Amino acid sequence: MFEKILFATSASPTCDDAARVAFELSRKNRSKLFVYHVFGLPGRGFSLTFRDVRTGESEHVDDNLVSLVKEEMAQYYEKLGKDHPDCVYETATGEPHTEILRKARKDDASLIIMGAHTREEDVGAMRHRAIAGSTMQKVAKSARCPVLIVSRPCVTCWSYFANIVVATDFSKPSDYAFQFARNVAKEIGCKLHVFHCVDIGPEGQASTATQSYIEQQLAASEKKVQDKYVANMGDFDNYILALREGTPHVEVLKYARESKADLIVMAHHTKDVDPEQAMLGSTIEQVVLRSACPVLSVNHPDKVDVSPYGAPRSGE
Amino acid sequence: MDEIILAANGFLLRYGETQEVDPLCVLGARVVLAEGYTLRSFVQMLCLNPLLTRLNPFAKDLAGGLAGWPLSGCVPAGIERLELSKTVEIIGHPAPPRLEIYHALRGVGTGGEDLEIKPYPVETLLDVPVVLGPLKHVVFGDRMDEFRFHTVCNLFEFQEGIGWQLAFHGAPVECALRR
Repeated sequence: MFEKILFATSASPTCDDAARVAFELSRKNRSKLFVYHVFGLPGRGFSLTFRDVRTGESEHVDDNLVSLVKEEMAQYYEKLGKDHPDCVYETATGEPHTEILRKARKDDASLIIMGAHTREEDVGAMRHRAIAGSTMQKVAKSARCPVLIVSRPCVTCWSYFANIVVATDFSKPSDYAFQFARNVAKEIGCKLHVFHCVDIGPEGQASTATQSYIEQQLAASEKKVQDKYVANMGDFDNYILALREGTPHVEVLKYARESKADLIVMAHHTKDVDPEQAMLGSTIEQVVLRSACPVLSVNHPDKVDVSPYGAPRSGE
Repeated sequence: MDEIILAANGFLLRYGETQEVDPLCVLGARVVLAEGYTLRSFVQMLCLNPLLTRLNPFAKDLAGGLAGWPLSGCVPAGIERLELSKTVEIIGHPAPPRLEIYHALRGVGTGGEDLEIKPYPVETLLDVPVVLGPLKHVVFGDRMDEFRFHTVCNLFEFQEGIGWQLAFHGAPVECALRR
């Protein structure tokens, strides 16, 4: 399904959940797995020193340091990597999101897998900081391939997923998200939930939305879902449609929990935002923050077509 | 500072044990937890004071779920108590330098160790005692330079801090079966 998977990691416990998904997914799909770690910002132009992203201190970079970091990574993932003899460990110094995007483009990655943060955060601290890690935001914004964000332990491995929820706002990126979700659901044989929330703002707040307005919006949304998505299901029939009204991120999370979603697929930014200006849309950011299952961000039509699994290995 | 006693049955009690019916009047009052206060008491407080559920988009569902949850015995093995603590953290790098103040609800194990509670659905934690913890002062992001002080917490901070944490709970306890 994914020929090449790029797992961008800090090689620390905060990426452990994402690591398990990355190794499991690449093993199941016989994908080429790149484990990639960016560990500092270089000085101006070519330089033998780099600035540590976390401490701000200057360090010298040389071949010894690079091989030491690679060795550390390989040791850290020794247990997970034992079934991946051809897994490639690579490092770079630089601005993490630039290097990850550069690497994904250069290797034509079909999927990028990341954790949501590079450091352990108290749940309480998240509300005062950038909710999602800034590297993850920037990668999700500009990547041409889907980005899988894993911030909690994923109890079900990809090929055993039973429910995929695709949350749409009818924007162009949402259409790509739908195509990707439909293809994955068809490929692994699970149920697809096509979900849309009519945004009427937080409950209890003064809102201009009357009951008849909400019903009108829901009816219009249902027609759009039929025209845009049901008409494009092809021979795939294992789907259900769900429409709600309320605050989008709250309803997406509630629906995902009710339907026991194993994966939420969403577009990175909404239709109202200029792609060049878009940081992670507030809805997906809130969903990533609280979701119990992985969230997949899709931005571009590239790589939404998922091909069948590779040839079976001997003994399978 | 005014005090408000949070009773184990979810009542808000003013000094002299008269019941407070308007939670807005006591949002700024210092919280005192009555003996036997648990997470169930917190959810009962939300049920009795629907106005408080408007402080968090997930609180209404939390209050609505109580009727369908077990009446007792909801204590997972290994968790002794839930502690709501306040943290003041000075962060120097990456820039800009800043000071952050936030509340966090954490699980405390029988040996006093911190426990991650996000994986537990709320209904499995209902009868775990809730206590107020100290203020932690973290200097320049270094957990080694961490000071602890006695502090107080008002009703707004208490409701918001716990409500924020509980919005992260909700993972299904089992996976669905494929058709």
